[in-house]
Amino acid sequence: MYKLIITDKISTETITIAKDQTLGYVLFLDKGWEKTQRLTFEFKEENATLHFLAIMIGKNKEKFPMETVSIHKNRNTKAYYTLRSALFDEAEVDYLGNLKIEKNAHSTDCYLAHHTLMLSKDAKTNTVPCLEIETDDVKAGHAATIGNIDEDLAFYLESRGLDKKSAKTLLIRNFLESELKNIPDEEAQKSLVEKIDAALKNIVIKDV
Amino acid sequence: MLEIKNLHANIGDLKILNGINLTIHSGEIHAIMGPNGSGKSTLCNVLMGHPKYEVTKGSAKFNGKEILSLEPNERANLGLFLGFQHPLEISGVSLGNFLRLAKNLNLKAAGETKQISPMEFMPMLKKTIGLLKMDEKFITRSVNEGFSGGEKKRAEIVQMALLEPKIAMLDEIDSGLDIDALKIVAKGITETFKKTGLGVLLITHYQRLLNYITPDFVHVMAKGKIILSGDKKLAHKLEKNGYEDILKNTK
Amino acid sequence: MAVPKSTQKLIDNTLGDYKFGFKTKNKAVFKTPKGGLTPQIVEEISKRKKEPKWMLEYRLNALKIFEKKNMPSWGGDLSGINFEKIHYYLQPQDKPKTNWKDVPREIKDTFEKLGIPEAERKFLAGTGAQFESEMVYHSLQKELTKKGVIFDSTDVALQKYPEIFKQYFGKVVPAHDNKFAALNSAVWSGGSFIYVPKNVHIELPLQAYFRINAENMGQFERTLIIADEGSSVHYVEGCTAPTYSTDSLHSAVVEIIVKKGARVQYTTIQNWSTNVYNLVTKRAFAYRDAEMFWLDCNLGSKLTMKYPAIYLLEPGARGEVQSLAFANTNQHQDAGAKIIHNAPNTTSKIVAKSISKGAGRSTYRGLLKVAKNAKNIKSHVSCDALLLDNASRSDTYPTMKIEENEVAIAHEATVSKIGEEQLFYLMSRGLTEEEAASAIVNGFAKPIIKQLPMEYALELNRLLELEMTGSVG
Repeated sequence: MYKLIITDKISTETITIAKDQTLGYVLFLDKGWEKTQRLTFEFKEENATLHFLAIMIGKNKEKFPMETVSIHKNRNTKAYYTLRSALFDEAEVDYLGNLKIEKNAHSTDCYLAHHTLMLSKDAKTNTVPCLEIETDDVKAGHAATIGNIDEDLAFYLESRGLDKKSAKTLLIRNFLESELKNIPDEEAQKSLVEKIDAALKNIVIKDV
Repeated sequence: MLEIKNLHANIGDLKILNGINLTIHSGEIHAIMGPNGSGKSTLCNVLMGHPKYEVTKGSAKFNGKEILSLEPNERANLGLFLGFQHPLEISGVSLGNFLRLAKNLNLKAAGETKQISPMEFMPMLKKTIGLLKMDEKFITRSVNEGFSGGEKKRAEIVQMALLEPKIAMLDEIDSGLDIDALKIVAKGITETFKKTGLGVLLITHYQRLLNYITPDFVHVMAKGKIILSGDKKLAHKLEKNGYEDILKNTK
Repeated sequence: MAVPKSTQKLIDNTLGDYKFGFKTKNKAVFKTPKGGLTPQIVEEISKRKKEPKWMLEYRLNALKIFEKKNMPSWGGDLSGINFEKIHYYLQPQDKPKTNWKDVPREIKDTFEKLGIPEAERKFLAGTGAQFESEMVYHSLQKELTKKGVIFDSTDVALQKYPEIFKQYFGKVVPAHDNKFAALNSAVWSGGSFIYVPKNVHIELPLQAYFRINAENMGQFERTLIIADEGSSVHYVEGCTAPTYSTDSLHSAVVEIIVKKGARVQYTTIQNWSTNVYNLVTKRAFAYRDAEMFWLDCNLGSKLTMKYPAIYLLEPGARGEVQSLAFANTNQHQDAGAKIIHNAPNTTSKIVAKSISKGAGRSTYRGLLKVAKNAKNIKSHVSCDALLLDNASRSDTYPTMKIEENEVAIAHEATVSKIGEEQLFYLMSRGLTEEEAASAIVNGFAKPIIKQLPMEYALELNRLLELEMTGSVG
């Protein structure tokens, strides 16, 4: 049983994923906010699966303070968190992602990856991916990468005739869109691509 | 001698082995062929004691001793060897040290007081590695880490040659090998066979391996049972006609 | 998957029955009275050491800071520490000796039981050994002295080299840094002081041994290492302690300054007995093109909180932390690394591996910070945890604070258990389940262990095996 939720706001709440359910949760965030929001996913029953994707596009002085907490209480639950942030101007991401696997959550498989593209020298990112594991029968991991646009790739595109701005835009879009193909709903994919385009259009992509 | 009687085994609720009867004596080479899903690999793994399978009926006696209740290492100590279909990587454990440790443990279990020192072991190891045409560098590398498919299979035979088991079960030792590698592996097996007279159980899909290792007996397995046995001519027949004919006839 | 029955039995039978749990009768000459730390005690310590006035003032000031500061609100459970019950200073001898022959027999016995090789071995450059807060034995080979290298106890260095001492002491870890740094600053005693002059390379590792012996002994050694421009040195610290029923506190401070183009490696193997609280502040400043490498292996103790830190202060500086932690039953290893990139063109690497067994808990706590204008940074962090059974616990809290965009930073962490398939593979070759698990754990730890000097690597492999099989002596 698959359910897809796409939302453009994060708020402090707990979402429970039911037995044998697969939940796809997509957060599209292109406006900042002030107070830290904590989104908790609880896996109380077995065979629950979550695919979480957050796309964050920050500009001006926007702040994105947020936490995701994954609590696994039962067997055979899976959770895959992917976050991609593109930060311009003085935008700031402050993210804590906790994967908590309790004693009875045997055969849990979970992974968290946060990738950040820093597109201005005043952008800031704080990321804390955490693991709290209380059982050995588990596959768990996390990764975080922080970087800038790959110079070699940009050069390659420019050598094929794209101007700097177009090359950068293409690479940023590529970065943000790369997980979309995993969403099993073509309409949803299309609408997210449009949202990303619209958000990027509002930003002046400077030569950094 | 390995004597298997009416062996039934499950994985979870799924029945995989449905009454296997087979006897392998030292000095005999048996080949088991059959379509995918027939239970060939499972048979080897059950005999070696893989924890994910459950034996529901039957017996397996190694030189008169019942082995189905023994731990895998106890079976190895008795002289049973399994060449894995997908050999595992053990990071940080060098092939050389691992093999010497295993060899000495098996000697100890057999009641030998003598243990082989690293200095004594090295020439044995180098010779065997050379027989399988592998570079000496593999001795210090972590077990199977970064080895190509062919190298992993050859390394399994190096292990077999050094540990000198009484009965070796080789699970698809030929899969993923090109002709040259296949010849080398076959040579490794036949040399060991000549030296120790071990019993060999070859699990294979293709007749090709049997061009280089002549089996004394060929068995066909389907749906967890041995449905037909013969000699090497049977293998040729299978190669020519496939499994369908035989499966139809035995229905 | 259920834990194999024999492994479960192993877990149930294993108690950290500590191999080195013996005591030598103590002939201490002066022991601070119990009842908490007072300015009088601090004054007495300073008086006995015949310290200059500035150090006494420094200590008293630090005591005030210690009393005011709160216990840390994060990390392990420190509620078991009773500051009233700790001896803060113990002096078994009056003066440190330079000749092994003159060292009292009882102290030699202790070292022998621990299997420590006698000092004057040709492959050791020199050794200082600490027993009960004093540098008891100390020896430096002639070549080093000729080169201008200073390798002395911190107490002696304060007297002999006052200028250089005052220049660097307390600059990397000031007393107000945290509560335990303040405590150390008030009652520090012993530790090593090393100064390596410009362009001098010390090929062989310098080593030190120390242990806690008296009941309720606090160990507060203070180590200060200064590597002048273009020099290099490798310092190795390894320690053990016997078992006691009331708690022991070990709160050391290590300050390291790596100047332009210099390189320092600081290797630690700690194997405290399971009643020890091991809370250490270790920090290094690395300047232009300098290299700092912390190699940190932690076994034993009741609770270890240790986060070797490197501040990369000038371009070209490089920092690396490799740490191995093994938490057995009722042990908590809360360890990690802190790397601060305060300058451009700096690189860092953290490799942390932890093993948890029998309800042990290992925690990785790390900080990677890149300040504004620290451009062109490369950093890679990897933490791997191995859980050996269902009772153990692993946590990872890595923090990344990045304020600059021209950076390439990657962090990854994995948690796993010993695979059933792997165990089966090894057992099918004749290894028992215990031996198979032990081989896998050793293999997991190997990338870090192989960087230790050989005799330590051997000792550590042995210790790991003991921890794995639960067998004693």
